[in-house]
Amino acid sequence: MNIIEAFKIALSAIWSNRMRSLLTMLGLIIGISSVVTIVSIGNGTQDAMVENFESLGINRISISEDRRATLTPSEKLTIADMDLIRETFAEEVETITPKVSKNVTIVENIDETSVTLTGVSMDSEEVLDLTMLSGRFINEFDIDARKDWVVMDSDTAEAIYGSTDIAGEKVLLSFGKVTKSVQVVGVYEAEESLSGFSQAALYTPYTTIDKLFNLQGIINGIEIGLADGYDKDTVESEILSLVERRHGNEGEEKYSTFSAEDQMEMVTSTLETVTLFVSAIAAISLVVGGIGIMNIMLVSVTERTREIGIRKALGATRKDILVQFLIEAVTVSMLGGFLGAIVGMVLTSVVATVMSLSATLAWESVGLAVVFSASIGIFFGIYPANKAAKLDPIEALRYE
Amino acid sequence: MLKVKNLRKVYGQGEICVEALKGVDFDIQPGEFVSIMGPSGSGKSTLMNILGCLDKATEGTYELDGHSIEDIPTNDLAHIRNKKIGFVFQSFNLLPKLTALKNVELSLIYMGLPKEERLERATVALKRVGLEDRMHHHPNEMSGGQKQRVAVARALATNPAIILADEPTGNLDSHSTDEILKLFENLNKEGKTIIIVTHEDDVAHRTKRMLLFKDGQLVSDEEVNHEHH
Repeated sequence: MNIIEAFKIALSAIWSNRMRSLLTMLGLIIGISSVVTIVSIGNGTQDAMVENFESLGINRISISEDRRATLTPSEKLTIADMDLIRETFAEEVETITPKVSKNVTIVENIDETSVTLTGVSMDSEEVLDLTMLSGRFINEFDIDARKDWVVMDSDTAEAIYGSTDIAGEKVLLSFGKVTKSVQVVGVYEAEESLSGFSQAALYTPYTTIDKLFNLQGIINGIEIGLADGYDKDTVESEILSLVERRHGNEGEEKYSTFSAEDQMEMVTSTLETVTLFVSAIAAISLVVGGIGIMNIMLVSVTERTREIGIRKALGATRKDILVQFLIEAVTVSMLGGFLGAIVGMVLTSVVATVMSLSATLAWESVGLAVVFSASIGIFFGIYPANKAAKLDPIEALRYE
Repeated sequence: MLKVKNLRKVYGQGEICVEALKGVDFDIQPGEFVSIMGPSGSGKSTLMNILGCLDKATEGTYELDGHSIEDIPTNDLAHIRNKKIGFVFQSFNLLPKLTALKNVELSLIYMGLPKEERLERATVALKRVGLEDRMHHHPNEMSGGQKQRVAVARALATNPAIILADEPTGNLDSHSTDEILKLFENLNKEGKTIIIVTHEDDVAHRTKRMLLFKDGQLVSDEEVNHEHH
């Protein structure tokens, strides 16, 4: 007997027990659709994050104090470090910005709004890539002249003035016991960040924030954007040793570097672990589904004992019977896998839409699901099929 | 064509063993029409199973159409059953979910024939038993006599050396019984070898030779005298 013949017999057996077959498949449908959905959404989120990081630029290095180190005042990173890096690596470094920001309060009449005041360099406009709604960004002249000028985000501008067209307005900033009047030179469009909410931020020249808070050149860190064609790791270690030499603390690991690439790898690997873990849980339901198939196949073999006897009397060999029942089990499980994959695809797009997540349909997981369910069919079908094949024809023919 | 020599069948072992056949000898020639008679417990069912290659004897030899059955591995007996033997059972043993045509096709599937040839041979066999207008009916849409005719067609389809019928009329009324026996008589006239296992005298007297069994032994082997009927 050939495979096509056995397949037809299997299909008609499945069809004549439609409800039972569907319920048997349900375990696999649930398992497979869960795996497909989870992997698809995991992949989608990962792709979205990679894209996000890539738009920020992978060739970026950030230097800051090592969190575990204790630094003397003379070891702290300063504007002078930034200037030295810019001069020394004029070729390699495309953009360089200090990391320096303070919390301040905007006082307008009796309303107080907390915002972050961030110091910017002349490269910041390029790095931040903001969309100006009115006025302009901080420029080199503002930095050199230590102007008391700020650029405000549109959310804050709307909240305080009900308009984004407020270039030239004066605002009162309060910090500590000091209150200082600064002028708004521009408003930029507030963008939703990765975490879903925008942070109110005022930008001012780094020289201005240094002056206002009397920081004496001390900054939290330095952000560097590399020009194309330079190896990030090499430049990173060269910059690090330059800074260490300047502070006379070579090899003491007082500073740490962190690149967008490191950050991306961290997020990606966390996400992969989560996806793997949830998939493993869903895979348990596949095993449960497999046991369901074995159970129903055993019932089927018992119910059809007489049929098996007739077939054997008419000349079916053990192999014929084995193949017939095995194909039936595999057909049920593959059908379940196939339906599960379709349900998974639908579920993926529904979940992605409802939760506004990005999903990348994991075709490899769809393929894997079908192959995997076929293997489940073989694994859990072999015992019942073998039981059927071993039936004694005389006993089987006598079975009522 | 069919040689049985000193055939013994023992079930179980040691003290609790039961000897169902106690050394049986007979030959059946091609074209014979034989009935195997005997009360229950006479060993005729055991003999039927051995003749049908569903079971193997404990001792002795059974030769069918030139093949010594005891030399064939149990698993390969399926091929012998498929090619040499056509079964007709008391309870018809048709698959309820298949049409008459599909039921007849079944044994041809296990012969490995292609679809067209199977359909052709199954159709011919169903015409032979007069059921050409019932080919696409299911067993539950047929009378007992019709079902048994489908079973005979299924037995015929593979063109076997012998047709082995186990109480073929046991579940039939007298009209259908006559119908089936006439069918067997005609098949025999065409040269088919037919063996009927039965406990009914009327049925046995329609055959040409009667083997009577009692307590696992062949007690008489005689030609049937049709003059009495």
